[in-house]
Amino acid sequence: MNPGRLWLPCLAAAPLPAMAHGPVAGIGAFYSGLLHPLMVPAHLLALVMLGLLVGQAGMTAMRRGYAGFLPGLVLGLGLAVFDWYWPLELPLLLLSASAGLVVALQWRLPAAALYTLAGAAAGLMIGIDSGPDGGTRGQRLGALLGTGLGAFACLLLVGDLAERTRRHWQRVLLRVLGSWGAAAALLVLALAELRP
Amino acid sequence: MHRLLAPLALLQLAVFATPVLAHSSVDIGGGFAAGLMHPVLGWDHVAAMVAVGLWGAFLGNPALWLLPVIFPLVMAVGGVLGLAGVALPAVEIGIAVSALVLGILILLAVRLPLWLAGMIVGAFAIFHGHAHGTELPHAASHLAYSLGFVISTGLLHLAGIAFGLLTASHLGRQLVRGLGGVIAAAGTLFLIQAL
Repeated sequence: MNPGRLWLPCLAAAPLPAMAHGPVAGIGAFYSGLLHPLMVPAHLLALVMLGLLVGQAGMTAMRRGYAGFLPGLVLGLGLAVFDWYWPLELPLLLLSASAGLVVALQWRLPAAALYTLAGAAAGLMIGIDSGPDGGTRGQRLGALLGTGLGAFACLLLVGDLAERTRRHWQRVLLRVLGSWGAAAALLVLALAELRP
Repeated sequence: MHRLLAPLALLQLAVFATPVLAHSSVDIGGGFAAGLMHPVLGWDHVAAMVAVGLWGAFLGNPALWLLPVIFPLVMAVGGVLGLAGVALPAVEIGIAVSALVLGILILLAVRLPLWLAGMIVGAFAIFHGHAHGTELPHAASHLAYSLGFVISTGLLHLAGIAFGLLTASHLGRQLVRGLGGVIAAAGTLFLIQAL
């Protein structure tokens, strides 16, 4: 038997394609992108902590935060189209830890512009870190569009829920969630920096 | 037959190949589940975490919610010390003592000033965090693992608070104090094992 004849069945039998940023196989580029912020823990944590931060501080902070987040996200996704990539998990974790700490301590940031700055930084980093690997230009654009919608929807949802908290135990729950996020982010930051 | 070995091996590799996923949802889920289970599988951690919630309920507002906020934050600092390789003397003894002391405080219904209660819980959180930090595995997703065990720790506090809300009634108060006695006894056992 000629071994060369087995190459074709071997290739055909390869069960799944290699994907670096495809969280769920078979659902298409757009939906894959839509779920991407929910499937990458660092992105999800940053979105939740930012949502809690602006939601806890009230409507003005929400508007300021969203006004920074959306352009930052669009810019980051735009850079990702052109394959600009930096490993941004650690800066995102730093942002999450800081936002979580502020939420846990129920502080208000001294200047409203800081909410805009935090939103812009989170959006930019999530956008750049979401660049899809491989695929056609159309698939890549679809994935990035999905990521943009998914990330913004997640932030809006968390921010809105946090802003609606009125009762004492609901406000306490926000602080507890902030402390959990800050603790987890701090541990992973330490792990990345301190453990060889 | 020898001529078939190489192509068969190639076929086997192709059939059993797994995809390359940088953000594998399976690894994330596995890391989260492992983190979630980590505090629950150590009885000394469970006893101390539940005791924090119980004592918080005993102390009432604002300690009820302040202690569960303080604990994870200070525990993370302890975790950083553990990861940094900063040696903390007698970590296991510290964890056992945390269950013993908190159990006694609940049993005797001791109501300390908030600042002192916060300092006691914070000091114990350092030991628990240090142990978690040094045991933190090289998991596929460290963040998912850390989130899992921080949430699990928080839920144990919540379980303690939920049980501690029984203190509203006289019988419930006696039950909670009794549970404090059980935790203190368990702490004594942990201490004997650690020594």
